[in-house]
Amino acid sequence: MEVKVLKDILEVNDVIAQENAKLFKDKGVTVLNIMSSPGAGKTSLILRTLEAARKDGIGVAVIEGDIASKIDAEKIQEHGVPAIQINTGGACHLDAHMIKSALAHLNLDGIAFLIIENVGNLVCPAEFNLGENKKVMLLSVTEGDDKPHKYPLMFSESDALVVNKTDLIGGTNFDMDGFRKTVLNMNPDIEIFEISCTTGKGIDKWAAWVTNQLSPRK
Amino acid sequence: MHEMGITQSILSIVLDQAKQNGAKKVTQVNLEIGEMANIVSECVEFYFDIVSKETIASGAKVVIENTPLKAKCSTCGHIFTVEDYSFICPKCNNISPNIISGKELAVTSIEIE
Repeated sequence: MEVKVLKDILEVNDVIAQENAKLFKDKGVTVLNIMSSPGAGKTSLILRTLEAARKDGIGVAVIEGDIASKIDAEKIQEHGVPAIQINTGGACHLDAHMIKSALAHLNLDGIAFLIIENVGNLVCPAEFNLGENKKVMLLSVTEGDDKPHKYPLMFSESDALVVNKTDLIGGTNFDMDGFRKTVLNMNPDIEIFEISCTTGKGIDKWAAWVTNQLSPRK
Repeated sequence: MHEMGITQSILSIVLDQAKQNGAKKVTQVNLEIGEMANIVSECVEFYFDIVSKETIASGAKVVIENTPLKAKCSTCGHIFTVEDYSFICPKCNNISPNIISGKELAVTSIEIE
């Protein structure tokens, strides 16, 4: 006897992600999920973003995701910003349940932005919704311009792409024009930012985009 | 990736549905896995054999329908198969990726006794 099921296998994660999203909406918090390979510059981007937010008097909190260590959360906390560190102990991405658990330790009062730094991984984070408003991916020029072909889901799913380490582009074969064309063919709505977290170049345009994502307060 | 975790979720759905329908045995599990779901079908079949041991789904045949990545152009309405994740419409050359298939990751039905 055949029994129709028609059940989405990732439904459990998506249900929790929707619960997270509702909580964020009720609290008036805009959430960014920052994803990239290890070392592309997620933490550096977050620190630059915090600087800009502070200038505008915008309250920010951060959830850090790593397999192990508190290095990133401590870097954020040194700047007087509340940060929770999730250690996945092996899981290569954050999921909605981990975020839900972390939120129990985070006071969102007065917070306009929650930035989630996902585990360094260009594959899996794209598959798991956390309840975020926007998915942001980073790629550093030193990783090569062929990455959209190799990791298409990440590029297709992201709302914004930050190309980092542009100060080093002279030492690479990175074809920025070709790269942009490839990415926009996959995802014509993606916003692309060319920056250097080291020199600060391009950060202003990125910060302006972030500010534009702010949820209207209730 | 995560085929093991995904397979455990599949088993959980299958056993739940089997219980709801008073099944003594599950003989077949039908899945729909889209190209963009990033899941290796052979791994799911392999893991299912392992995780279903000592359950009523042990030995069930796993049948996977792989759905291709297809998009409908929101400019001209043309439906096309997406090659290499390029969403340029082959008819009008506009880029408007309205994905209509290829993201599925679902248990569609089970066969029970």
